[in-house]
Amino acid sequence: MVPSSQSAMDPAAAAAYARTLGAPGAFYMTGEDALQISGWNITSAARLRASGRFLGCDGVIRSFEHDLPLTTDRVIASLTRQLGEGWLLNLTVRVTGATSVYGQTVARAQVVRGLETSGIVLATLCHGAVTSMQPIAFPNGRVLSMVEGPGAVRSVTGTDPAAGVEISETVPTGARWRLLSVSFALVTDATVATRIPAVVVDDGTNTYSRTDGGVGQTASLTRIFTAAGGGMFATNVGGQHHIPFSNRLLLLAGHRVRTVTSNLQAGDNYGAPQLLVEEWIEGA
Amino acid sequence: MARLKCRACGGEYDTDQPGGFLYFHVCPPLSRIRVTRGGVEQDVAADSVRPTDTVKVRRAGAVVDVLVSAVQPDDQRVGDSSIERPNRRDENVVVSGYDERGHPTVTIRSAGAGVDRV
Repeated sequence: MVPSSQSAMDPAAAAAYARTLGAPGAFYMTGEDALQISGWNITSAARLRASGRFLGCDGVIRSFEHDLPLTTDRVIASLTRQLGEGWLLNLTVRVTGATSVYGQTVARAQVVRGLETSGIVLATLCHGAVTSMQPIAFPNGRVLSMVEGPGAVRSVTGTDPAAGVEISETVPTGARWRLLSVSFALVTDATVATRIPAVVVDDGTNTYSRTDGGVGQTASLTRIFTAAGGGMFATNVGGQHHIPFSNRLLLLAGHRVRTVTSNLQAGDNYGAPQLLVEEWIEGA
Repeated sequence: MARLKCRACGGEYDTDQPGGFLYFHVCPPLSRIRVTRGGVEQDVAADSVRPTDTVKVRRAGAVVDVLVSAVQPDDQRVGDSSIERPNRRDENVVVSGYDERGHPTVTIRSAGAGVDRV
């Protein structure tokens, strides 16, 4: 495409256009268009680095590099830069400043018209999970769903409840979890009663999965319960109990994993739960 | 990293997880036990149950009323429930507005009763 701001006979513009013939994926940008880089992240100190080459109407290829600091709460961070009139030849976006696992940082590159986040999106160049070693790129990159592909597996230490209080862990804003396992200890007080913990998964209001512990715990005992996908109810000689549940449950933000304990007493005390989850960033 | 104790639920947690990830505490529901006290059925917290209260338990396949002081090891209490904790803390972020550049500004959903550093 010949730049609208240049005469079709302008030698520099014609030469610049000719150079794009060797780069068929080049994206023409008017002076009103801008490159917008956005990111969602959970890794401390991670930044996005967007770099590439731009062919101006003067026929000069210029490289560029922009850094975007990211939040760690899955809330979007963006920067918008005008590159001028010409052709975006190539772009790569990767993580810098931190070592992140695939799925912990998601990046997107778009062409917008207008300022900052109120701009009109004209094109999405590439979108997907990035690391320091695995960028997203234009051209030849892909636009992937934020929940496509494997998530990032990580261990979460939950809240240590006070005595007489059940365990409850909530999927954070902007996240989607597949619960792989949850392990917790229960110390019962001297009150004569048989407690039976159940692992419950709900949407914040309505329960959609409940698995009872299958075994009771009497007074003055310490037992460890592990709920994990597959397997069967089992108890070993050390008093550790396995609770099977579905490992295909996908929990959206606001959903909860919690215990509901039959005969819970005021002096009973759960320890901090340890969860293993596969997490995708859905963003906020 | 800081270890905090929630004033609403008494739970303790670390603000940073291993690996540097943030943790967003949300208070658990408040467990309630159905008792009959002075002839009146009511829901009370676990630490408010009295030995002279009566609770319903499943015993030998039937639901019967027993004094709290007379509950047997294999009795299973029925009628327990849970409610949202009053003044609960929810540290999950919400977008509260946008700055002059159009970037989101965030706050936590509910500060609740606050926290103390442990």
